[in-house]
Amino acid sequence: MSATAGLGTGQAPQAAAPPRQDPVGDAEPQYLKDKWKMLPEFLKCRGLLRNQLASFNYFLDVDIKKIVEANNRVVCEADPTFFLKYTNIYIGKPSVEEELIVSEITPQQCRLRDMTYSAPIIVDVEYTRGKQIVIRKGVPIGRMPIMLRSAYCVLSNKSPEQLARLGECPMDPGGYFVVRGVEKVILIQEQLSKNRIIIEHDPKGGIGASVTSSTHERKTRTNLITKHGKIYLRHNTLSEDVGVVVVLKALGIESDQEIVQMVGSEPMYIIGLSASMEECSKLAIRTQAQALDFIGSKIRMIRRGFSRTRADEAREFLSSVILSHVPVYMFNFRTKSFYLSLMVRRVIHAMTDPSAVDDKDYYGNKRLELSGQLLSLLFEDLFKRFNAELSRIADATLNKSNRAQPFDILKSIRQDIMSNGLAHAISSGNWTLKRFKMERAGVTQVLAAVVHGLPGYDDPHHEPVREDPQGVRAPVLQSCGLVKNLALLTHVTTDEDPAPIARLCFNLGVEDLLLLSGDEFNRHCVVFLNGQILGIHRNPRHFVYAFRALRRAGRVGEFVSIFLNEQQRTVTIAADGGRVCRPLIIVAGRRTRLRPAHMQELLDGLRTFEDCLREGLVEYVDVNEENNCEVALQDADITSRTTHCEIEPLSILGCVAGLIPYPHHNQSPRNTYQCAMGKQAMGTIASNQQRRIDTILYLLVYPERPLVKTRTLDLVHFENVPAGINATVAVMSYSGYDIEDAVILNKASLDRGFMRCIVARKAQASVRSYPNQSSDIICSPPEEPPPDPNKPAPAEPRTQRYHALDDDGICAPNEIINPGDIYVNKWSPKNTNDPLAAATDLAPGANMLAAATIPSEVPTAISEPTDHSLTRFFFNRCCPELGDKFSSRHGQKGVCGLIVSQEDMPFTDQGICPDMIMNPHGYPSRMTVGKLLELMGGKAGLMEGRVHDGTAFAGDPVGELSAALIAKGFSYNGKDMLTSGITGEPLSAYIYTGPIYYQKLKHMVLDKMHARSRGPRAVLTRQPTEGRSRDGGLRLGEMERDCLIGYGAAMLLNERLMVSSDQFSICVCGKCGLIGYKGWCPYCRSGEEISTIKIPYACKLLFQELESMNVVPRIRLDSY
Amino acid sequence: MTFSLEGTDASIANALRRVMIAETPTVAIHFVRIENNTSPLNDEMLSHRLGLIPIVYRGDVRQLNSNRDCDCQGNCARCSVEFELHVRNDGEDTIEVTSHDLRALSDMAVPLDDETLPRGILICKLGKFQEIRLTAIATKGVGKEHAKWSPVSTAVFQYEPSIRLNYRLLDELSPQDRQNFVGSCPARVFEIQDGRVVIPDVYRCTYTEECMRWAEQVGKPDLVTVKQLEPPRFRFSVETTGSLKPAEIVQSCLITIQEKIRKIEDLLVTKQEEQQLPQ
Repeated sequence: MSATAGLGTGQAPQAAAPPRQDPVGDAEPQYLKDKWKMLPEFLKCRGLLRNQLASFNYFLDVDIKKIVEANNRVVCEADPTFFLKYTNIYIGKPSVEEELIVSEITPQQCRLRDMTYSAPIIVDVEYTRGKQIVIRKGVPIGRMPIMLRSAYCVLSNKSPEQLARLGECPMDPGGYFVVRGVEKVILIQEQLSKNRIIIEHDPKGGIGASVTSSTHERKTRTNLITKHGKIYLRHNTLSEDVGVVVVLKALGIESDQEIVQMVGSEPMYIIGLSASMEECSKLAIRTQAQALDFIGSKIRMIRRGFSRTRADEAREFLSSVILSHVPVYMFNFRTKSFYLSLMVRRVIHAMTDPSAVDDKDYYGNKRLELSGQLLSLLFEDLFKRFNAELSRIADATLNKSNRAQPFDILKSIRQDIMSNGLAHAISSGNWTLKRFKMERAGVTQVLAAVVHGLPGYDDPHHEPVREDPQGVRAPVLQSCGLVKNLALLTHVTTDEDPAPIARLCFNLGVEDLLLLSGDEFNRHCVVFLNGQILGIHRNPRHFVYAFRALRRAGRVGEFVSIFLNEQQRTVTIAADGGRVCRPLIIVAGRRTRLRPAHMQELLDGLRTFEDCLREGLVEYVDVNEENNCEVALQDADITSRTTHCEIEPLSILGCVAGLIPYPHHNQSPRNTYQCAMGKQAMGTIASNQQRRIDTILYLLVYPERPLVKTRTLDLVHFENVPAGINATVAVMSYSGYDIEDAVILNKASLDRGFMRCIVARKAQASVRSYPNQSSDIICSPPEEPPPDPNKPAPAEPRTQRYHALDDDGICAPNEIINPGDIYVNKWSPKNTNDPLAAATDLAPGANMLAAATIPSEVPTAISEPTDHSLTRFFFNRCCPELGDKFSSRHGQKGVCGLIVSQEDMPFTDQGICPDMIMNPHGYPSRMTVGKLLELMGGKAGLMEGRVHDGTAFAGDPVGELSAALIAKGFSYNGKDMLTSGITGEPLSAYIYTGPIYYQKLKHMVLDKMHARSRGPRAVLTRQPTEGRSRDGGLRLGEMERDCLIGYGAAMLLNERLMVSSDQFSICVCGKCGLIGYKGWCPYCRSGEEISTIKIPYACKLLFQELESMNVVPRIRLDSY
Repeated sequence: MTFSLEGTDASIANALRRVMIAETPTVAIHFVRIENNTSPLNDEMLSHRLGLIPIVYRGDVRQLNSNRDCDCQGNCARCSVEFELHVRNDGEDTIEVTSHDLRALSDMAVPLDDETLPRGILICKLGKFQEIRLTAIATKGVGKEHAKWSPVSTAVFQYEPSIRLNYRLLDELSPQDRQNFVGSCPARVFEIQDGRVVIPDVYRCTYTEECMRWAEQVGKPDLVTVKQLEPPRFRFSVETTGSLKPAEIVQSCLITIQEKIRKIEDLLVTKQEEQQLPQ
């Protein structure tokens, strides 16, 4: 390894990079071509959802063991000899236990049967039973939902054929959970880094420093604030801010000189500290004991139980609460005092230099929490609760003196604490951690079925890396609905053991902190490891260089980053989880280490991406380390300062944006819109779409692969699960029904299957049994009563609503269902509690699905009856109609404004008739040049019989497309001469015509159209119900009301607001003004002055409610 | 098939085109009774695909009754043709169900059988033990109602361009420039034969006006003019889906137009008679 050889010579890093002899040995400089071919190689070895999978695997492999190790003992107060000790924990195979039979289970079974795809959590324990110690292996304590395609999933390491046999789509990248039959994704959560000093402005404008310390035991936040030029320590448990000098004294730095030396002996720091020093001396605190006593008096929380002195209290507080992540052994506060003085130093520095304030939005200060980390938090909490429960049971049982048999704790293990806790959190998305008082909602989301097949699409990962060219970012607010997506090559790290790294650092010349004086500490560069001060180094550049060389040689984990901050004079080594990093090609001696020969080997399959990593051709660089790098975009841009070269510019985009052709020609908001819209497009869900029963499933009947593709398309297998159709589009105005982005469709195209879709819905009915031994029953449909000879025969049979039912009372396959039809003839017992009530006294089921007004045409029953529920799948086919929504891949959506028969459509000389006409006004304001290029590329590709490439920052240039068009006898600009289909005359302009990939969005008129004349009313107010699902009325809202008032249309208002809504006649007594009834006033005991008036029912209700509260509303009547 | 139309204007040409597309009656599958379908396609998709298969009717389509107006109950030989499709895959490999598997129950009609499509039109693919069994009824209809009854894949006319070359100016050009001039047209309207620019086929012209632009660039705007021929002449190209022969389509289309004209004529006559009666 020549990199390590460089280390041996001890040269300065700049000089230590002589032009290297290339291992492959090609003499003349050769540019690396087709670097993008690395992308598939990268994804081959890492997969699209590698982050999620890796974090989940890490959780089950490592983290769960650590958690159990940290809480491995359960004891109880009643019996000091009692204990339960966990010796091991592991996860079994995904399985299900039904009627005491345990069988293995596949995700597809779980989806269909509404089960949770989970595996048992098994522990080995050692515990006391009576007087003996029992060792028991393989005790299940709960069930862990398993992430699909993780190492613990049955789908891992399966070939596509095996996956297909398991009913799984081979293209599905996994990364989600199946909980109670629903596919749930745990979103990546973005957080400020833990255990790092963040310098920030406090709300009053002062400078402050804060550290959120996080260890397995404790989470605390320590703040330094400035007030009147003095620096204070602020903490929740302190009733008052304490001067930082006092704290430093309490930490054992008694002499003022040492304090100054530790903070910094430069004049700036001395001045900055002087006010705080003065305050300390005013308080007459000189010794550690005095300081501890002072701090102790400020501690708010009085501990229960045995009493301690204030000094002890303060010592405990300083060692375990303040900066709790900095370890303190035997109350040796040396390390902690260094840490604190460094914070002070930073604060003072930031007071004079505003640029030293940290940017909270900077991604180097962010950590991403993936599903593994989130689950581990949850698991830890649940495990503690589980243990507490066991301890409580042990207490309760062991306290009873006479026991027939020795107490066996294993018998009282309740698996459901863990199982339900995990399953419930994932299915509801509410992460509630008692211990950290954390409550987070919306952590999980349903995997949207629409673009299921597009891996990672609907998985709203947070996009951290570089995808923000304008530097505009949503301010740190509460969730604003902004979803970030991870870029293609992003890797989110998992935790790595810091101990070997620390050892390595010391070997590389880091001087241990405990051996240093304050003066030395500030004179040299401070080395941090995971937010903790390791020591100092006298030659940081060399240290960083050597460290990187070792990493490239594979001696340090590839995701460990090292970053030299020359301004702050720190070296930050990070090996913690949640950092975002990405691979870059290493450049040495003005050329990339990855040579064309390597690329060739990669393409030939002789080399993998991992090999490149191992050989130091490519490395992972995180956001902080990126600041030490000079990254060239292309080979040609490499200068002498360049350290790295980008793998491929398109990797700046994620999966969703990667589908847009020519995105670099579009106005950026359009690409953003498309990212949101691509998720609503109908298409192929997955190759197992026929076997899935989703609540609602939108499928396109004839999906096509796009004529202009991008490289990302291949990476996400888009062509196997496409979501759109190449429509021939003419950009012209036609008929006026195309204003405001409306499109005009060709009827003949629709007849031939253009944009047809299938909407499938699930209907479910549960069959329950009740405590009184009664249960729901499903009975065969009623028979048609014999016709009554006295009455005219009804137009349709009375049992018409039951026509779809089979003899078993469940709708038969291939029946046509109309609104109001009954799907299941279910009867429920009227009394479900009284055991004496007749089990046969039944009423029609409340949730009989008759109420559903699904205009399904033909249900195909793919039934999967679980224990208690019946599922039927209903299909509905939709041909595009007026008002359906379509969109191209450039954020240009529009509804169908008119369907025109083929003979009326314009046509070209070749007889090409467009499928769709789009108004040219859609272009100028949107500036979606990419769409224009897509059309040209598509047209050229059509004629040449190939697919053109529209990859971001690459793609076939316009010149090439024009040349191809000219070669095929078309105009270079993509325009054609069209003839009007109505008059037969040529159109007076050349029309831009060609194929554009269009998506049908799931918003369809069929699901939305709604009208009502009369209909149901709400019970309480007697006003019309609200919403389409309840056949509600159309609301004349406040603004509409205001218009009518302004116009003076009083009668119209009266009609709308009362007559057509909840008009009600009441009797009012003219004498007392109270509401009477039937022409009688019970208050006046007379019917003399009763008049009948019409008021809204809601008004009458209000009056009655007021009366019930002893408020008398009186109506004063006037005669007109 | 191509033919040219002269001595008339765009309205007649367009009427021809429109009638060919929308009002030429053909036979296509309209009702499908599915007895068993275990294929991956839904019944509706399958029926839709069946409907789009061109059916060649051996008799005169125009003589066939419309199913709606026929006096039979359901369907009969005078208004429809029945087909049967029964395929079951008992083998291991996936098989294709094509239009060849569609068997007519009468000899009046067959699904399109064309030598360019030796395997027929793909309807569906069947995996192991999958089966399709259905009967289909083809009826008469027109493209106006559903595109499956439209007999043409393209019915289009083209205005004959009139391209006037100024040979005097052309001769002034150097041979290289002449070559450039010829190359300026993407549709390759011009060719050089024996050093002279000739136009082998005026219909190649797609009115891109590239040649005129080129001429303007070299400063000879009069070199070439491209206009529509006045009075217009049209070249029709009719390509069928296979259900009718192109000539039959044109013939049928002319009959339809004639019928329409006759209808108007009749109406005019009755109207005239009505007006004359009181006098």
